[in-house]
Amino acid sequence: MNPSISAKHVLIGFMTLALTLLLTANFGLYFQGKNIQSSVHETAQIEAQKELFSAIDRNFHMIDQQLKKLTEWDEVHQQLNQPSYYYYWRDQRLAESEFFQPYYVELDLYQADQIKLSHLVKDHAQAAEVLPKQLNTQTRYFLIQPPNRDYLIVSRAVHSRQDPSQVIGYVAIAIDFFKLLQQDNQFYYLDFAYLHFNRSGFIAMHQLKDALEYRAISNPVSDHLWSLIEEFVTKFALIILITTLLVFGFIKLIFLDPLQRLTKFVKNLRHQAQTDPTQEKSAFLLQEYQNLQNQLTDYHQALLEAQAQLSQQNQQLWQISRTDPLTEVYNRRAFDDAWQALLKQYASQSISIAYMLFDCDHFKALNDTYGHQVGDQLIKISAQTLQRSFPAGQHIYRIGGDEFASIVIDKNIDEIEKIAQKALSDLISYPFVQLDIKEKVSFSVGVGYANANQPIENIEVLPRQADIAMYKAKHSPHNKVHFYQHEHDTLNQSLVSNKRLNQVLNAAYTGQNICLHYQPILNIETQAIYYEALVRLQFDDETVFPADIFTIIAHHRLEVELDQQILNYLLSQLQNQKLPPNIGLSVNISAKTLLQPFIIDLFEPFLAYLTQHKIVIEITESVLIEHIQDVSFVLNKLRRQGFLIALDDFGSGYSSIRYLANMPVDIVKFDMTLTHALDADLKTQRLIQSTAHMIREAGYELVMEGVETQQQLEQATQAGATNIQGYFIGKPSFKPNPPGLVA
Amino acid sequence: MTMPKYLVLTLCNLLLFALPLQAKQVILQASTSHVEGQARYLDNGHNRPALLILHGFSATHNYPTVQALQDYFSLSGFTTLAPTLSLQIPLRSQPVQCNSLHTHTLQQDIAEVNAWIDWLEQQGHQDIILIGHSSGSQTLLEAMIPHTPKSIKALILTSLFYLNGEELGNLESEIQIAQDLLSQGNNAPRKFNFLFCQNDYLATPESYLSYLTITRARVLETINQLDIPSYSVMGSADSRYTQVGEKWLRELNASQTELSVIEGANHFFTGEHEGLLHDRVEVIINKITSK
Repeated sequence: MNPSISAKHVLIGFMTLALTLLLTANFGLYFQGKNIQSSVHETAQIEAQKELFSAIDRNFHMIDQQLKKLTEWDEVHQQLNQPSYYYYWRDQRLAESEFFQPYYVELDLYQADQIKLSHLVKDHAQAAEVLPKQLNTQTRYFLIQPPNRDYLIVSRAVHSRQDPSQVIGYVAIAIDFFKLLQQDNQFYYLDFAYLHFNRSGFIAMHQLKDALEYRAISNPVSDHLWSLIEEFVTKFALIILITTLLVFGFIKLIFLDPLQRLTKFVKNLRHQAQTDPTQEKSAFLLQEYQNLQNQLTDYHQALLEAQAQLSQQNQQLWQISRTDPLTEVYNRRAFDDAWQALLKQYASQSISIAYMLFDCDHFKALNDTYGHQVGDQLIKISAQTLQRSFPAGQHIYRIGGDEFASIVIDKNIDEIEKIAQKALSDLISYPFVQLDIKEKVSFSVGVGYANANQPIENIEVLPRQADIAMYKAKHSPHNKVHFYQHEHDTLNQSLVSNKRLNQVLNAAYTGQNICLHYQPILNIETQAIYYEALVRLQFDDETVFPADIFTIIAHHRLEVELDQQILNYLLSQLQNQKLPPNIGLSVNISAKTLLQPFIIDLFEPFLAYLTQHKIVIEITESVLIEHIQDVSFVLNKLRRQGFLIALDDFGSGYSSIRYLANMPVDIVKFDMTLTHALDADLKTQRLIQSTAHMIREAGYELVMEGVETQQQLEQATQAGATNIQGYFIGKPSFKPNPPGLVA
Repeated sequence: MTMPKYLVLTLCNLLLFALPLQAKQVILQASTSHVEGQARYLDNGHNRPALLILHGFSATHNYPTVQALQDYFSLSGFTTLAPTLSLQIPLRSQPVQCNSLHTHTLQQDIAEVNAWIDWLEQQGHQDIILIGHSSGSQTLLEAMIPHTPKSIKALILTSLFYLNGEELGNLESEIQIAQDLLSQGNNAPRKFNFLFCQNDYLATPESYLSYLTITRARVLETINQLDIPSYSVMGSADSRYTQVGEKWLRELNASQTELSVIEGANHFFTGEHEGLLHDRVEVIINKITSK
């Protein structure tokens, strides 16, 4: 089952993904813009730096020029030569001269010994003076006196006009640095208002770059634009968020919630349909949902109705499937279910159980003789009679063509016997003559019974025990109700003898210990002989005969396996030339083997020996009658290949002679009961003779089995048999011996 | 007639710049001065009188009127010396401003003039003609009083005026204050009204007062006291007449100086009048030397 995701989770995932993508794109653009702005800012900063230091260099050069002119100024030389009135000159003349610039804070002259001239005048020193009393070695430096006195101090030596190598004094200027910069420069990138020193006191020239704090002027348009972009990005992100929430809410409200309500509605339809089939419907905004709900309701209603009909039909079908249509009693399926249920129930409720089987004796013969309609009526009447005979509530099951069963619990064995006897009595007392059945219809009853508190194993064997009991009843002319007795196991001794069981099963599976005994069949007219191969299991100390072999084989359904091993053995005898040349052979094939799809292939190896050997395949009467359509094709094909087909044990049952005309056989073998019946009354003799005559007239060879006396030989010959078989002719022996009594 | 003359002057000027003159800077310190002064000396030998040309108030020997005179007469074969009064500034080479500190005195100027005359004499020039412009004429006049050096043959005074007079803007009260301060031993500089430096002349009282001795009468008096001939060349369009009046020309003419007036010339004889000045001075020099 594939894992499924709820619509809510899909919606949340999709909206989250969409929101993430949109916000990522939005903020991606924002940071891209930020990078551009940063790049612009860095460029502006670089330009501002270049602008600033270019201006500084230019101003330094200008100051140098001014200093140079000052040192060449006559009046400077005048004052250095005769400084008596220096104070007046400096304060009155100097400030008015063309040399004194507006950004000069102080201009002073120093003697050759670098002492300030103004300090030579007693009581003159002024606290406000910037220039030092004595010059230091630095001709250009900064003196920063916070908060806003930022001075550039420059000085230059004044040389004697008579002897230029002689320094007669110095000119020093304290300059308002920022005023100087502002005076002669126009800054386009530098934020001049921000420009300041980050330290105070003395600053040498090499420290200037580090000491100056500067930044690019902000671009109002750019800044405004960026603020607009930031505002846009923020608003856009907000819009995305709100839109996402609105879309989510919208989808949830319009689609998801109705979908969930529909899902819940459908779920309730499923789980509450029986308890609350008229559950309240939801109202939906969307017409499609409303229609869908209505359609679902209608569909569900139709489904419920269909389900009810189906259930009813299923019930009917179940009933039909468990009911025999002919008799209207329960069928084999119902019986198996009931038996299995009882076995399960027995584990918790150990009670007495009687497994009862009822069977109409010689039903097939009756059916063949009087027709299917009569047969069906017989079955139907039997079922109704049993049902009436049994206590109320006790079910009767038709588990085979003419076989009925019932399971009676919690009754002692006497009560069971009474039920069985009553049922048998009711059956046999029914006037079947009404169906124009001339014979007396008899029934057999087999019962397997187990007292309460038996181990389950004893319960599980009840069906087999009932079968055995039924077998016993069938073969008993008077006691038609048989309860399984332990001594009955001797009847089925081979079934319970592990040794015998193992011998037979091993032979069927491996072919070991299989051997064939050959009994001669004599053609009366030509005296030709062929042999029926009869299976035996040969051990050192004993020989196992067919009665034991076929009981076990039938019980284990190993007829096909045994037939294959017999044919293999016979083939090896032929291949190894263990058999005399040109003798005929007859081999028995079970009905089950005859119905196998590979039956033709099974006989293919024998084709090579048909030229030397007559090979007869003997089949039972029942398989031919019950499966005439299926086996006709196979038998005809085998006949065309050269095999002869013999119908074995004719007359052992109640086979209808009306089949004889069209049977795909070559030989009909009368069961020994018919042969022995030739000793009976004249009427019987004539009936058998007439039957033999019809068979002969139909073109079949006729073999009479069980010829044990000279009289029977003569009777058989008189009756029209073409071939005879029996102890009088020859017993089965492990070698195909010719008949001893017939010359 | 004037056009060819101008042409000649122009050519002379071109030659001055084109031909290397043997000009040299001469440094000299007067015995009574604290500083050295300098002069531009163009030596053309001793065949003719040497000319000493002195600049006017606050100017230097590079002043155009003075320099043009020197150049013209140097090319004419005269040895010329144009000193710059130091005004107590060592080797002064720039004009002083009204508000420059003036500590120099008329006596120091006279001493320097005499020192330069001595120097010329030491150079072997026994005939010297002094040419002054504006206040330089007054200084030369004062320097010849009371004794005129023997080598001085004549004085040529151009744009000659005087330094003290109410008509010039001098205030008696201010003079009195300066005199009082000086008498009190206070020679601290202060601003005075002096000539064209109205309320802007920064000077010590001593300096200020020393020049005020040159009054209108003093000039006429010194002219008359001279024992050598003096010639005065004035421009008729000198703006000083607005202060001193046209009468000044008549007063000069009435004195012993030989006055000649160049019509239309201003105080500095600029423009076309420069050549006329040179012609007039040359005529005067020729006249002097021919005697």
